[in-house]
Amino acid sequence: MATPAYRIQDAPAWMEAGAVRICGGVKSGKTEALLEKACFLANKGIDPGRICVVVNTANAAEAFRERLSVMLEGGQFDVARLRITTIQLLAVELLSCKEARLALARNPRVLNAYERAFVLQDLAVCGFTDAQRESALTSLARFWSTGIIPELPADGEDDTRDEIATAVWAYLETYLIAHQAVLPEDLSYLCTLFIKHDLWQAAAPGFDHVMVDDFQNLSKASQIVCEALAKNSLVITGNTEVPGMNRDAFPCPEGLTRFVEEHDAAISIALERTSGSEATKTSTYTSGRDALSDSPTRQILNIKWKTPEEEAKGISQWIRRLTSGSKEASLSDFYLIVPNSHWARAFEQSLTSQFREHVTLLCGQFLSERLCEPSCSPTLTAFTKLNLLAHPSDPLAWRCWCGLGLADRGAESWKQLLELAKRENLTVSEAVAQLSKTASSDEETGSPHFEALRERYLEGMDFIERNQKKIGYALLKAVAGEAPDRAFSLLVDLFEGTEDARTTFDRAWKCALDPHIGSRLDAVRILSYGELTGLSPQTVILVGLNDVLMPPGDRSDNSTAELERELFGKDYQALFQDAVGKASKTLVVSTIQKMEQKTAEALGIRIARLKTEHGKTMAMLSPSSLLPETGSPIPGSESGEYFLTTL
Amino acid sequence: MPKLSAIFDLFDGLQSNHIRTHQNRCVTVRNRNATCRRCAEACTSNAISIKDNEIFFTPHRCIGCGTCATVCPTGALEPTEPNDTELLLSCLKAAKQADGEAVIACEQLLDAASGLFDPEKVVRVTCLGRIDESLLLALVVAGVSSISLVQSTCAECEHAVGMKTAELVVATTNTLLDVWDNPLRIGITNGLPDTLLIDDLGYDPSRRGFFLGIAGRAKTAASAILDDAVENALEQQEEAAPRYQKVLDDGTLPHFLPDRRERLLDRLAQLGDPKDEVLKTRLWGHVTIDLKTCNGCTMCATFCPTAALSKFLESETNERISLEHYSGDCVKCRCCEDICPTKALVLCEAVQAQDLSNGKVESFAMRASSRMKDNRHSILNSMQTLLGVDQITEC
Repeated sequence: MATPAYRIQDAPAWMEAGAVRICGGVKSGKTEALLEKACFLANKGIDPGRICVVVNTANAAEAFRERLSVMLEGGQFDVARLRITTIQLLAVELLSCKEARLALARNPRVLNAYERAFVLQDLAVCGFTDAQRESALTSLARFWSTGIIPELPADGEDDTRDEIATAVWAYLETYLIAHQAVLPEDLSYLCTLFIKHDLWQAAAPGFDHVMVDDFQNLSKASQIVCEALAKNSLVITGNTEVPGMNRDAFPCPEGLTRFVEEHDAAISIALERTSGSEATKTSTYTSGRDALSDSPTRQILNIKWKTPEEEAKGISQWIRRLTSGSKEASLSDFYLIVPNSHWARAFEQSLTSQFREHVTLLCGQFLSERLCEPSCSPTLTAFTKLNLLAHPSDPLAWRCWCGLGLADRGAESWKQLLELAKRENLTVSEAVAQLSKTASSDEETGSPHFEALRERYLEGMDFIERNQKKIGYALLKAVAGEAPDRAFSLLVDLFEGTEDARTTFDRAWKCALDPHIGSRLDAVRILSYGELTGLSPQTVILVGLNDVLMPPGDRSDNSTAELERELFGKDYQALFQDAVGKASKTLVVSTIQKMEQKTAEALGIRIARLKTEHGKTMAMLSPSSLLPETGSPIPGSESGEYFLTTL
Repeated sequence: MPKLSAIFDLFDGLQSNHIRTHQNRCVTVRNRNATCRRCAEACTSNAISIKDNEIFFTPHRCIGCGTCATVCPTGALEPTEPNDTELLLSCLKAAKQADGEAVIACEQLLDAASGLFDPEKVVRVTCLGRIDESLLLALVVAGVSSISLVQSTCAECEHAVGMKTAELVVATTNTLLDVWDNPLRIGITNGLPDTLLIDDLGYDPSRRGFFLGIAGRAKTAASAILDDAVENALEQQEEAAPRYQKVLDDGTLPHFLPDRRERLLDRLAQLGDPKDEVLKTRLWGHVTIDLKTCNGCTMCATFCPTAALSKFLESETNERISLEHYSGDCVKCRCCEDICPTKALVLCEAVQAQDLSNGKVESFAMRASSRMKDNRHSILNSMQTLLGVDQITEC
């Protein structure tokens, strides 16, 4: 075993450098390099509060902290004080300082997925169509990701800005300021505004040493923030062979490739692969195929099922067979990567049916999507109640509370409230407080919408009065009932029993912002491809691996001949390769042959071939075109029916 | 009839770097009465052979040509190194280098012509028998301008039987291209195209083939002597215990449509709609059942390896069973014909091309079973039916 490089006398020269880029492919040891740097700094006696590690997900942060704790076990270094965080949480912290609030006049209260649904509904009642809204938000997100502050057209100059996007933003900006909130995609951009402000120097935020994992996955604005925070050294890692994955809305892989040019005296290290993942040897994985090929002990299964139903049932049976009575395999060893929400739901139901209890954990986007569904009101209600208790004067909390359970999420009523606030020059909170007054004969404040709002407001005030002093499990019972919804339980994971409303809400809010997997829960993880970043699962099961599912979209368009076809969806290729290389023990690749035509049409799948079967019309599907690129390490498929008979 | 243990041993022995075996798919494993011997008939190196209706294997003879996999209807033999995907990617890459010309050549020819051609523009295979229709159609769909299979002196080659498979595959593919109204045709040539040659040295394959042939015959003689010695030296092995497949809930054996067949159908779909013509190829069959002769046992569906023939209840209330046959999933293994006890089922060569593309199935309503069920006279009834005699006295 090589000498650990974090001992000062053994440290390679790059550990003392000011700007370092470490490039490597899948499983080349990039994260290990950062761990060793952290240990090196610890051994040098650097204050842990002056070190910051930026990773892609909350889960990756947890994993990093655990690994670092093991490496530094027994030492004096307080790992808990070392900032290991995501760019979103780092940005929120930065914007929370008083100088930032003064400079930007914004409260970094970030909208999470539930709250965003209410805001979007409020946009809808202002005359913007769904398409306009989506297009404008995408344009805004793209613009924010650049970190470039635009110059407004001078007098007399033509305004070439997107008219609709400008109008949407004008409304949204007013709305968000009134509700003291920000959109998550705006966080890094706001930080860049702060960095350019005079008060930045006065605040002097930052760390002596900043390390960033998977730099190519961050937007340009996020990269600017990381660079600005690093006072003495900045170490970044990334994979130059694959484009950025969609962790940030618009990742900037050029930030990684151009790092050395853009930073004085920066050095670049190319990590190479070893057996075992020591960071200092040579040979790179550029793709999951290489990672697959280099693991002869890894089991790889390629199973072809007839239908999606058979797939869900078969995989569930397999997992049950492996985990029943087994001390070696537990549910949390299994990571089910699904192409869309439909598949996530199907597997959730199938596994629940197989095990006769909830054994799944929806992660990331699927959790967010589920929590926004109207049918998921228990979690939304619990979260909103908790918010109300924690922040009784938060206008956003009241917005969600007043809209709970209503078909249009109370958008029409709230619109009237905002108009009242504007007319009478009140803040939203003040306008809400007006609702406590009795019904008036005024045409406006006596309208049915206002009556509904007033009723809701009084209910809310009553709820606050009865429960604001509760803590611990009494608090949880008050907001979530006797049996908290499973999704809400995950939001308040690690609940100790003595927390007040504000502490509990902060925890739930962080989790809602970046739903993490929570390694303590023994359940099968169901997640999307992008959520695997920073994880090291034992068993990875890629399901629904068919064209038009993964990669998604119309894959049966053959208007361009294959020889001239550009490789479709580099992002999906990168995601797939990453997923394929992740499994440490077992990789299962699962495809389906066919599905009912009506299901395929409902999923928006363009059908290449049909077949009649027992009175039904079946759409025939092709295995994913991403599979051939992994080549021989993935064997030819085996029948799902036969596979189950061998269990 | 070959011994089941011999079949199992065959698969165990053949599993190698060249071939991956799936004995559960083999027609003869599924049905001991099956007459399929295609792998043995097509084997180019006598690794699989038949003697006195017994299948024998000599694994060290296997050269990994993949011809057995081409002829196996159920995908029980799967070539590796390269596998189908790797081979296709190699062909596409070479075709791109060669301005759209896809050239696949026998390795003997390429070895003989070493240094005379650009190796980036041609794909080598151990034997042209490795090539199947799905690969050729994939190249057509990919937009290559031409496809050539280049043979060596196959007539003198010890693996000559592989060429017959290649010729059959090419003929089938050209038939499909004609019916699907595609102008491209696959050709088998004796020499590399000029565009691949580095310089014009007047390469003459026949002269080189002569010397290669001598070398090949010498090798064959040597290996034959070795085989006999090995066989004599080996002791008789004990028969392995039979390994049986589990049936599914509906009483059928697990089904699997080979990946190659699915790819073939997908490629045909990409070529568009076929003409309204009848196809007679090695690939698909069309089942006809004489319902007067059929006794409704549904063994044909039970043993069908691909579920081309499948059984189902017409409705929940009506216990009548029907059979469906989809020609597109039929691999013409003839297992259904072999298993039918009354010879009511016949597998015809002719298949409507449009049935392949539109997924049309043919249904056969089974007659109600003449045997009583859950009845104390059911044994008597069964005997009457079996013997064809009404006058049986029950004591």
